[in-house]
Amino acid sequence: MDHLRVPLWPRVGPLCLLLAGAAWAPSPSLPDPQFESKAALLASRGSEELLCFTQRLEDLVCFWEEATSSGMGFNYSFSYQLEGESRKSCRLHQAPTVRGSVRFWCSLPTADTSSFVPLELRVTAASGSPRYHRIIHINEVVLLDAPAGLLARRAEEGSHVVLRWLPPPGAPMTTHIRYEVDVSAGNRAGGTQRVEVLEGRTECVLSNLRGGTRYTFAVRARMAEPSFSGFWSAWSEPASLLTASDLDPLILTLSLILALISMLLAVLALLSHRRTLKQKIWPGIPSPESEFEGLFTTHKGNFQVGDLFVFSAPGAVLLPHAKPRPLSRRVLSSQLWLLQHDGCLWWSPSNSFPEDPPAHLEVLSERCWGVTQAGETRADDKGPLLEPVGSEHAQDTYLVLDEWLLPRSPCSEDLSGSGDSVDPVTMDEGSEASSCPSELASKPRPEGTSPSSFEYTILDPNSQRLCPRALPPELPPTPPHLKYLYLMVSDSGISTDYSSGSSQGVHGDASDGPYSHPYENSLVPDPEPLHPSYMACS
Amino acid sequence: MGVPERPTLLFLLSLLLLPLGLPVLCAPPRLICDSRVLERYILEAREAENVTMGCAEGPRLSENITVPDTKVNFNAWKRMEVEEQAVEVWQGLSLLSEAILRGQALLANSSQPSGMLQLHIDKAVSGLRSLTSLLRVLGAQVNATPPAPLRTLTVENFCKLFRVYSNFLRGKLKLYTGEACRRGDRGCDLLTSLSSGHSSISSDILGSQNFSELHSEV
Repeated sequence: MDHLRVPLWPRVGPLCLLLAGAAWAPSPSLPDPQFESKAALLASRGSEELLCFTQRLEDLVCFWEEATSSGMGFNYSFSYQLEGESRKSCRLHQAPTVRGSVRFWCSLPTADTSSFVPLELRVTAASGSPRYHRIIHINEVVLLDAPAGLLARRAEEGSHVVLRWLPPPGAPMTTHIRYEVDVSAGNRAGGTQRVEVLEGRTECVLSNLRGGTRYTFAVRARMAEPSFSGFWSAWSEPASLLTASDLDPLILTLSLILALISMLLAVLALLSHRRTLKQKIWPGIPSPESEFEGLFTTHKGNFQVGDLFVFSAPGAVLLPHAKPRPLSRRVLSSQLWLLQHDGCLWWSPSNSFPEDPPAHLEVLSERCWGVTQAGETRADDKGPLLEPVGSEHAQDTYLVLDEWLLPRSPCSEDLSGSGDSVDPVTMDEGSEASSCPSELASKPRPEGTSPSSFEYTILDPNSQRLCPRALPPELPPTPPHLKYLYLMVSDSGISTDYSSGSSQGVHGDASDGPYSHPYENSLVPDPEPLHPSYMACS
Repeated sequence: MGVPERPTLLFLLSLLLLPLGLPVLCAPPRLICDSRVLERYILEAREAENVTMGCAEGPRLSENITVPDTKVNFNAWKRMEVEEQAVEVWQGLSLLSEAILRGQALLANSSQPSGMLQLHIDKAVSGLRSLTSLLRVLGAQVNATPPAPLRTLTVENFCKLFRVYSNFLRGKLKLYTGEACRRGDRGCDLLTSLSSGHSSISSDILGSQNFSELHSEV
């Protein structure tokens, strides 16, 4: 076997030597890939000065960059001296950078990389002129690697996020490393926060994060003071997390149920107090129906009793019905009532009677013929009717009007000898309307020279303008109609006003009666509008 | 039936009483292990160093003082055993204390009394004394022969003296106490986990008390 090995040795030997030499030869000081990034990190912020940093406290690299414009040959010498030791020299390397400049760097041997002692660095050019002179402490120029293994997860309670990472790989003194966490929300640039983490801690709990957003976290490391100092490392690999939504489904469900129950209770309360609320929000218009019986049913909302009668005769008095109805009561105090009742109708007696005071018309009795059309059923009414109210009225003259509002001779058969004595009175339109024409028995005062002379005009109470009403169509073509006599009236404003109306020609101007009637009232509706002394508002 | 019950009863009772006696059974509260304690002295030392920054124009010592070397080569340091580190730190601290005292004496005798310098020197003296007593708790006063003689330097002015003082505290002392405290905690981990609250609270209280005590005895 030996004879076989001997011929092989000359061939294998150089190869082995070559390999040994390669292995034992000092490895070319190639910068590790980290160095490049770190050098770039430092150079980006520093000016053209000598920059030194250590990565693991067991090495030191010093470098500077120069523009390639200077044409002279780069010949520098780098020397260093630890306190209490001799000055030593360090071999400089140069390499081009991506920015187009030249970088000179030197790496100190490990044996001389001691901390907590001043280290003096000198760079001199070939000509002897000093380029850089700096005294540093190695423990104060630490530039660590970026932390690794960053993990973000949601905590069990609330919207907390727990971050965990590992110290920079190979970093010494991990208990002396402090960190900084960068929290950025979504894609918004303004939502970046920095959180400081105490030295030695590799965990961080973040709270008060917005729900339902995607956060990105990054962490970087630095040696902690006062023993060490240095630069911030590069940012670690980012970790993102989508925070839980703010709306907890359980809370949302419960809130909805609560809202539904509240709405249900509100609706129930509203329904139970429907009427009260309606009264408050939309109060009903007070109706005078309670005060005036049958106002809307029988009188069609008209406060006037039947038709409006304007009497102007001296001493005319209206006597109330024996069974006083609220309507007739109004009649008596008609004038006063009208003034008090600031309703639609406005009566200005001062205008109407410039010369003569109004003469009062008294309604002695009022009878509603109604449907029965007979006074037989109202036999009980007749009794009181027969009695005059007062002795003063016994001598008064009176007039009886039938259902067509035509004057009748007193003690006519229709009344069955009722013998009502009614004094005509100036009646204001204070009486309420009645659906059935009421029989008015009126008699004038005995002052007048001519007996039973009065004038009246029938006004339609339903109209707004108090126009004289047309006679009902069922007027019998009986002589009573024709016997209508125009009565004498005194000079009063009312009659004067009404005399402006057209005289009645159709109904015969039979002036051959015993009455002298210089005025004639027409029974046809007065086409002319009402005198302005009346004001009827709609 | 009564005899076997007693050992179990005693055992249970001892388990109950164990958390109460933990601070006594385990190592006594080591204030030096609180980072804030050492940080306070380090900041004091840095303040003194900054005050005497200009070494060239600073007042010179009338004689050179021997001070310990503060150099820490991490490559070599991490290979050292804790005991070796302890010895080195303890010796260095002793030497530094002597140097500071010497400097105080020299300053007192000097013809140019400086109030600021006097203040800082006095603070350094008291600080080193406190640190020595605190370090004693860690058991660093083992009088073992060091494997290698302590490296020393000589300084000729106060600027360098304070710089050495500051660097020693930041370097060797802090590194050693960090390591020693970490190792010491491992032994008491199980027991301290039962009474985690007691030791931290008591150390806080004691820490605040001892500061005033230590300074008063100086």
